[in-house]
Amino acid sequence: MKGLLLKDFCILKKQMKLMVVFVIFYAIWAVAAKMPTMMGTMVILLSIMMPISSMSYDEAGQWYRYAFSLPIPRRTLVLSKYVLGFLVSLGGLVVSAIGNIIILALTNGENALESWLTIIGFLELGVIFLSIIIPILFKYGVEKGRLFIVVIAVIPSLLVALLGSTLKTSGTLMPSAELLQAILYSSPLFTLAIFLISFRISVGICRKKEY
Amino acid sequence: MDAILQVKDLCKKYDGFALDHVSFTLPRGCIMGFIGENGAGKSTTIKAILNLIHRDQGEIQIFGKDNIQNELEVKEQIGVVFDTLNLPEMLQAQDVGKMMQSVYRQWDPAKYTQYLEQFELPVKKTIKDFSRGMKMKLAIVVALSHNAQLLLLDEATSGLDPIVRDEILDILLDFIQDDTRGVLFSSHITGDLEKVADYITFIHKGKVYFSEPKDLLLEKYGVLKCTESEFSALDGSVIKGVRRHQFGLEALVERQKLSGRYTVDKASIEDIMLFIARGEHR
Repeated sequence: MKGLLLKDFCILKKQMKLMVVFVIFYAIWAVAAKMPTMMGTMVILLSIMMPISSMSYDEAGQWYRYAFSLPIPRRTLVLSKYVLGFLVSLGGLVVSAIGNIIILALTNGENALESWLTIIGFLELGVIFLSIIIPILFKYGVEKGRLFIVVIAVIPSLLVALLGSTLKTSGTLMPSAELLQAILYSSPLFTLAIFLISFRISVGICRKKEY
Repeated sequence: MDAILQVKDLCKKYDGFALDHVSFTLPRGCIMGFIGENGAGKSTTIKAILNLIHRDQGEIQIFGKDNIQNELEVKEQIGVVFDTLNLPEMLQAQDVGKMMQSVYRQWDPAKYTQYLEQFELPVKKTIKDFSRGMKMKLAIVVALSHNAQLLLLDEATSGLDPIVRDEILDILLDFIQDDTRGVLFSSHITGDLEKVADYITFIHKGKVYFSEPKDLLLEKYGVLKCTESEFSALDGSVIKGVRRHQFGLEALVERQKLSGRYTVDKASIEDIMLFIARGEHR
């Protein structure tokens, strides 16, 4: 497990260095444009991509058949990807939180609550996205998985747009403040549950698969 | 004779190809050459041994233990080298060492360093910049640095120059010196196998055609050059394969079964393989 994570971080080292540059760039932009959430969401987006790129490197180098020839249980390898996903999301959260605090201080704390909610919400969406994509990548590989990435990214935005327009025309179905609050508080638990279920599914896929 | 690896009645069906009751036994202290044309089932067999694919039927025992029930325990003592180095190319040899230390319980950092020096492999250079020979040598070094008892090599020397190949053969010979370990070595380069193998297992269209001591094989088979009329006078059970050409024909024969005065040339492993795989049969 430790070895697998070590390997993943070695592979992603270059990408992480690049990310630091991005973070600085977006931080400056966010302050200049007085858009505190922009940096946070970008950082989270970039971190979420890390497990996916580590999996594509693995596949390109035929790593799996080798890894499973070593005394590495399939469950452990799958777990390492989820731990990686968790660590980079956490890292993304910490960096964007620090960024947000700085930007809020510089912009006199306009829309503080909104910016925090956006960051948290975005992180949750990112983790859910990972939970959907990792099992797909284990099952179909990165080449075919890419298509799913697009589909997964497009479908929710279409749904939201559709929902928005129906709400506008009907005008009656606006959710109440209580409901929104309930969603807000339960969403981290909900996200975590999806993440765990996704792990179980990936383990099942990986055990069945032939390498 | 104590077996280090035993494959019994291994079956695995795919669309258009099947491993058909593959069986062979690798005794301790031996190198087994595993030969056969591309797609004959060598890699599939090795994958089944490593439980990378799920067998339909059969039994595989490594160190006397079932390869699935005792999977991790058994894999601690196996060294694997595929036809390419499957380690991420961004790593350096030192990263590989750190990583393997937490993968293998018996990883030996001192041995790893010693082998790296012996093969003149740089510690601080990304694998991406290694030549193919260096990459394969690194793969072998990794396979040798955790006190493995069994080495599985799947086309590990293909595409390497004769000097590197010879170096690798020396390592294999050295590896089995203490008579407790074993090597299963699949290769197209039959000359290499002729140099080092104690046993040859020939797999053809998913079936094991023979699995025998190399010396016995070389003694048993010979190549007979004769004319068509001489050939038709031969007993059919003697002939294992025929190749016809303009000036007559060549037949792979079992020397001992051949009675009469014939000139029979030595058959190399390659001859045996070619006659059986490509020749006509009676």
